[in-house]
Amino acid sequence: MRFTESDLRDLLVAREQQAGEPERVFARVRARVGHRGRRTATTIVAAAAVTVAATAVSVGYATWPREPAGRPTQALTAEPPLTARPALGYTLSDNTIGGLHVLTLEADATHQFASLSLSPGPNAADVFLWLFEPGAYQPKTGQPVEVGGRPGYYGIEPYPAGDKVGVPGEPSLTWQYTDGGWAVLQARFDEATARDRLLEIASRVTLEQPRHARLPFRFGELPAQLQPSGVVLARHDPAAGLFLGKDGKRVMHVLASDGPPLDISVSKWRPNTTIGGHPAMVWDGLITVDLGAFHLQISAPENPAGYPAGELTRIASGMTFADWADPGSWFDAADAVR
Amino acid sequence: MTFEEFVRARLPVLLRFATVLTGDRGLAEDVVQEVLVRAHGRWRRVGEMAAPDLYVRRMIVNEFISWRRRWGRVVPVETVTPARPDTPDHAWVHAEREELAARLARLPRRQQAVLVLRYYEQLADAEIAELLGCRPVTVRGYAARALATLRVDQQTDVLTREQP
Repeated sequence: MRFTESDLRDLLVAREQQAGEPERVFARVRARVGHRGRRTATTIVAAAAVTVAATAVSVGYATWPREPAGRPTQALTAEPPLTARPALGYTLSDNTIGGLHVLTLEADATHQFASLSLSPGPNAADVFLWLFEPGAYQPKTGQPVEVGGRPGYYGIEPYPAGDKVGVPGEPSLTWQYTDGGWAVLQARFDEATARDRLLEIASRVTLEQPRHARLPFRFGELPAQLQPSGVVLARHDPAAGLFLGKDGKRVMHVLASDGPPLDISVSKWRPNTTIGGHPAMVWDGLITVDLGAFHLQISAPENPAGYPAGELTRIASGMTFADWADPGSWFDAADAVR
Repeated sequence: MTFEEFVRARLPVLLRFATVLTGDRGLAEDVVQEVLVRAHGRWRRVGEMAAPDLYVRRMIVNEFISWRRRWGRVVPVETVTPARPDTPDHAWVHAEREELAARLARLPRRQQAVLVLRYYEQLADAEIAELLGCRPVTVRGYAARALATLRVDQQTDVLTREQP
């Protein structure tokens, strides 16, 4: 019996139908990661203690270049609310939120999102916060609570945003921080204490004056209909990025990260071209450019809009870069396209 | 993107890929679980890649290739169970597909991976070579041997389409 390549392709596609339930695997991964995370945290603390004792110097780590401390803040539920936040900007702090330490901050026209850690440093996230613009999110009801005099609900809820894959729920506190605007706090706390702990964190969340996200790059031109649609920053192993969207979907990521390209990448760092005189690697829908103090990656992970490598290269070639070490030279995200 | 966000968003796709790669639901779940736990350990770096999905897929391929050696697991040959046929024609197609699936499962893991990456993921040989850490000519060699073992005629689709 002989077959065609089409037979083989059909067989492989048919196998998709046998894929298992993500929830089951998710639960198993989470159980193992939880154990591993606790071990890692213990190891880090122990190692830090030994280092401090032996050398009497503080243990540091690379962090995001911060703006001066003491920016004015107001309670999340204060009246009147702050003036409108720019779509590519933040009113959440990039340092601490509700007494927790910011790991990553993300924003688009509909919401801000923060992953937070209970302790400083490059840890795994303990708590997630979504701050939806008025009208952007409609919560389910749950056990009634009150935050800053405003109504809310506590319950075990699935992920409130992003791709929903039916994962098991986690302790969640949802409250109306302004008319029509909802905030969601979610954490892996023990369910016996989660409600009170989340309420305490929520009561301490404050907002800062709206500010544009700042980026160390901007574009000369973008393909038709492709528009900046969101921003992201990571505090540790610092990085700042922009999402580009089309028809309401994020189709491309542009991320600037501290230091040279990582050799851990899916493809070893092997420059195969230059872009604007900088070493670059073009591989499988991913472009990496080594700019010395930082590196840039442009990718269309799912490639739904069909952006070939040549298109990504043209985007990179038209970009202008700021001085990574001087945040004052960075560009407003609102001016990301010249 | 946090590890949690990545897993929530990408797990269904990764499971489908692993299932196509392994042809076995249980093995696919084991491989994906193992890979994600290890990815978590280095997530500070992986999560900041522009394409962490690609990196994790590479881990899945490598995990699949080395799975039997490290874990001594015996993978059943007959793992594909399509829907029950209800007509003679479907029965014939079903038998053919089972025969092809059985041959595919007996191939060396690297050859299986090459076929999945080429015919399911539709990657070019150079891209497959990057993923497997070998040269494109080696990929072509794997593919040629695998297709010969499976008795799959290369480019028959093209020839068929070109016939009047």
